[in-house]
Amino acid sequence: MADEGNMEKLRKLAHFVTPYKSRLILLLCLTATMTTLGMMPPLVMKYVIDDVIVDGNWRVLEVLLVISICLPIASAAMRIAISFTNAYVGWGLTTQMRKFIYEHMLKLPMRFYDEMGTGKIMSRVMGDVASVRGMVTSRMLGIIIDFVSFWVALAFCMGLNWKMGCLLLVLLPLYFLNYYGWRTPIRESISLWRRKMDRVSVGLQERLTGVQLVKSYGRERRENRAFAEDTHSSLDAAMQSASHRAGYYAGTWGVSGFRNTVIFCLGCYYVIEGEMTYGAVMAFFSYSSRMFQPILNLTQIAMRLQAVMVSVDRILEILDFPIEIKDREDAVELPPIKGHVAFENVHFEYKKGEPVLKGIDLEVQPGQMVALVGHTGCGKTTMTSLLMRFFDVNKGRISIDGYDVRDVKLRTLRTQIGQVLQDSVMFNGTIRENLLYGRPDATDAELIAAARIAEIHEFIMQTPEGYDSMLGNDGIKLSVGEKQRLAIARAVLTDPAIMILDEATSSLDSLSEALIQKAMGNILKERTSFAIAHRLSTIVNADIIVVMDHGEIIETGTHRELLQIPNGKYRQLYEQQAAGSIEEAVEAMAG
Amino acid sequence: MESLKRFVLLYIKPYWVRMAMVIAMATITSSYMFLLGFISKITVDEVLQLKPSGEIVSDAHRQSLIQADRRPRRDPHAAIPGLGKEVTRPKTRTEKLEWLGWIFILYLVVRSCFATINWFYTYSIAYVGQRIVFRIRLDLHEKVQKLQMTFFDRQQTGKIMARILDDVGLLQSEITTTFVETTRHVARILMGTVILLTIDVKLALLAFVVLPAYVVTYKLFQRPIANVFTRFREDYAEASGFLEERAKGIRLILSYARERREFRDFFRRLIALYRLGVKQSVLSSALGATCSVVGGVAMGLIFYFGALQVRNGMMTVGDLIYFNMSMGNLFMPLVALANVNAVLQQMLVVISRVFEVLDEEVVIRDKPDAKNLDNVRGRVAFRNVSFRYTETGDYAVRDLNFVVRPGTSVAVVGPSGAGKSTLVSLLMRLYEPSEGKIILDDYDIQDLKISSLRNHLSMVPQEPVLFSGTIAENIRYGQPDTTPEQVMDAAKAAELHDFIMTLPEKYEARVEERGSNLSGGQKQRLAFAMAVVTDPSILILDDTTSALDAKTEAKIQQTLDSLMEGRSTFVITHRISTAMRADRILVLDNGRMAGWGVHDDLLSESEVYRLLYEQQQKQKEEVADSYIEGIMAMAGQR
Repeated sequence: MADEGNMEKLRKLAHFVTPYKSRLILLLCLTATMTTLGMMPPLVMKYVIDDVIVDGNWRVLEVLLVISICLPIASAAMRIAISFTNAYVGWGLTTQMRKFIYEHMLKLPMRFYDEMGTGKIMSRVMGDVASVRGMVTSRMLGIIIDFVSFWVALAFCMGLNWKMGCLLLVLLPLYFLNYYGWRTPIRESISLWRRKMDRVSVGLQERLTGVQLVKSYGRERRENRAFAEDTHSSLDAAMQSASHRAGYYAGTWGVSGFRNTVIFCLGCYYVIEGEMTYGAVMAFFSYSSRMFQPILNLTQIAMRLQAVMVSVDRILEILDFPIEIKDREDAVELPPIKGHVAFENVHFEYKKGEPVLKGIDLEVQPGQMVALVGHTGCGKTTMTSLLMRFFDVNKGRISIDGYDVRDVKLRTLRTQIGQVLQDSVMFNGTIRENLLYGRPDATDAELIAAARIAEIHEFIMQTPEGYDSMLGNDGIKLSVGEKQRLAIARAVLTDPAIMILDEATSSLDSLSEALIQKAMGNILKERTSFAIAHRLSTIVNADIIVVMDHGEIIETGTHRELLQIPNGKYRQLYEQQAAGSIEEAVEAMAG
Repeated sequence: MESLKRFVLLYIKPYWVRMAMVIAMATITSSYMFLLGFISKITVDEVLQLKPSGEIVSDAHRQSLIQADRRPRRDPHAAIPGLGKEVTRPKTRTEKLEWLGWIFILYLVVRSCFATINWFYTYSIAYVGQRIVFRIRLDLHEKVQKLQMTFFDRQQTGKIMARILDDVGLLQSEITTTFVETTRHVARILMGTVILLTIDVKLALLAFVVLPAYVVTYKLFQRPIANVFTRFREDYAEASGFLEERAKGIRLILSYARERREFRDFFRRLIALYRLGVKQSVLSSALGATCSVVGGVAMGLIFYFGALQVRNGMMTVGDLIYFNMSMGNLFMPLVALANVNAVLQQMLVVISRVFEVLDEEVVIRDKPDAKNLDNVRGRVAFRNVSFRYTETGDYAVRDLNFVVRPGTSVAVVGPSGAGKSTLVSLLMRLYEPSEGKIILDDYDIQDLKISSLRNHLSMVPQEPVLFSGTIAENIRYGQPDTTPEQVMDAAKAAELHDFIMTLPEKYEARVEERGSNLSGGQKQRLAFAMAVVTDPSILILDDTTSALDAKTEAKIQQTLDSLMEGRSTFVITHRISTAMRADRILVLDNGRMAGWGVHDDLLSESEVYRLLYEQQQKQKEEVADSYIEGIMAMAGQR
């Protein structure tokens, strides 16, 4: 049953392999031939000893020399050909798969990224794909070689002496016995060791990141002891697995030793009896070890196959993730946005049974600024995500200038909406590249104008290479405020008709806060905008304040209007927040 | 090489008995294949008595040649009684079978002996390797714990991790094997050389001409393969980095609808990887192929000339087989020895990295006569304190001079980057002042035991750090012997108790790695509870309330006020309104003191303070305006 499930999964990945079908067959033939060629040298040796030396047929010796020199050359040539074909297929496959997965990923909804997390995505696209490649190319090749060697070697053995050949088959189960006996202990001790090492590594990571905490509470010695304990228990596990493995190897050596002894002596017995030549004994000897090597490999392949199936599962986790957000077949281009936005009875839930938005109704006129206010988790960010169609509503509709966002082409929708998040992302690259991200064809003049609007031009000019300074790992480090202003410049450059702002909650110093306020003021003019607001000044200046609580709009209106509602939520929030500062302010004014 | 010597003395010497045993075993096992070859030779020559039949050399002549040739080399056989005489005389069937019986037993004994030795050898190698690694890891960890913050500023966490775990793990697999296997290979080559020479000098000389070709081929390919490999790794890392960045910044990609271009960029990187990947595997298979050609040709030639030698009666058939097996046994150690330098270099890099950490100077440590403080009143004085993070960098703080009286509070304000956090780190002795002194009560903090100093100080950081474990464990972190009641009291004081009680496992609920299952406010309150538990004489609050919502802040403020009573407190803040609550305000600007006093005085005395105040005031006025507007509107409504 499990196998059927696996077959089903493999079939899903099969279309990656299809284009390489003919090459794979070629690979198969080449490999089979090479393996058979590799079986020749013992035969040559047999002839040298039996026919040439013992029987005195010296004229054949030169021929055999030529053969024994040509054989490795031929198989070397084949080996290179195989390796090339193999690499070609394997890397082609990897590239195609990664490409396909990435392409698919870019179509996936935000939900995917939230659920999966960067680390997991990375390990799937890079590690798991590589592991599948390993399976298809080198493992598969290994299996073919093993399969061919086993049968060819068996055939040679039987041909040389069928009685001894039968004996080999009788000895075969001993290997399996040894393998199955040790398999579970080895596997268990390795996974125990991995768990222990994970523990060590997680602990260490935490302690290093939080080194200041460790130091400020003077806990160094205790941390040392904890680390020693964890490491020691991982050491015990490592030794356990080492001893199991040594046991397994000793078992294998034991069985092989017994097999070789029996074959050698039995062979010699047949030589004495005249049933076999010594050269044949030597050839038999070589073939028997070639016959058993595949058995040793095969037992490992079962384990590897399991690991690969895990990788396949994990890749399919991405590929089977439904593309929820895509253009409808009859999607139209969204004409330039004027800025009328309407939420009509919008319902939304990330997880079934946990509604995030419960019937949102909101109409925004062109050019108005909307401040979304409420506690964390009340659905503010969700509203803006729905507007950009990162998710689709479960019920109701959202329209821009009368167009339902689901009826227009995604591209035309998203390029007309600008977004500045509180934790703005900048990619590795120059400042210019980052600013041009949304509009690669903008001129330098436009670029500088946008930076000026975002109040970041001066800062950029202070960096060593101005607009060509590198950002990211090797480049200049940006503060939260600088990042946000760069993000504003990036958004301004695309001249969006609708702006979405997520104000930073983290405390900025007053100077950068003032600059950001100014920059935001500059760009919000004459644009419909939504601000997830944390600062009173932003809220107070908004055209519409939307107070949200648990996925519902509980109050809307201007600052003045909302303060008039006795015991209104907004008034409560406001009074709490303002309580301290108002007194001071009133005092100060009085003073 | 110096570091290698040090490494051997430090880490391998303690295990020298085991190590010597392992090396001894390695030497013994290296003779394994030769022994088997020798048994084959005896079987062929003495038991089976295979003889070449030639048309050219007459039987009598050949016999004499063989005898003349063999005499000097008969010595080893002499140990086996009665062997010498019977060589020339053909044995009967029964004799042969009897001999075969002995061979069987010998063969079995050799095989099982070696299986046992090999088992012990494998285990011992793992034993020594694991233990060495264990010691190194402990030493590294202990060292890292001792090191000052400047070390952590310079090194990324990931790099330190890699050193303690990955690098050292690499050592584990390499260290013992390199030491031991090298001995084994050398032993094998020496033995093999002697054996080849004793069997047949001419043939041996031929082998010594061909064998090095094997090594040369190997060396020839090594560099290009290493180059491609390095480039592949770099490109791979770059592609991974690209992907990671994009996965993190997916919202940006989506909102600018840049999917198609992103896809093209990634594909370009994939193609580069593809090319290198193919190149890499073709190169390494070419190496393998060339080696097998060299090996194959060598074996072919040996067999050819060997057969001729046998024909000429210079060798027995058994000798030829023995020679052949012995020579085949030399390829592997030759390659390994050719590689030993590369492996050694790699190991040296790791070892020197280990020592780099171990040799890092511990700047901040207890003086020999460091004092233990039992009680701290809480007087803190900075005397001409200056500090810079690097020797050549700008000063982070400069000429700080102030005194905090016991039990009073100081607010530290200033634009970001003014040196507020540095000041606190200096006080905690996470860094050592470049110039000047910090005095606690009557002692220079450098004269106190670090543990004693830090026991009396508690900091609630701006971005709290939590460790995975239960909530109670986290709260107890600074004071592991705290009773559950005290933990609960601390949680209550930090306004966290009610939240904890809503969790199914209450105080035993797990805190995930880096506290990812808690909100910012909850983490902050947990950090606060941690500080409460330690009952410090000096409390440091680093912008502590900024992540809290107004309601919790108001609640916590009361606790804060009561906690601050009787303790010297440093409050780092952006908000002037918070600063005004403190007994004294310290204004920092660009690392220098730009004001010290109370609010009213500072307004007139400190330019920086006034600017900060005015900026915040302006925002507040806006708020106040709107509030008054609101009140009026309300009034109007009534």
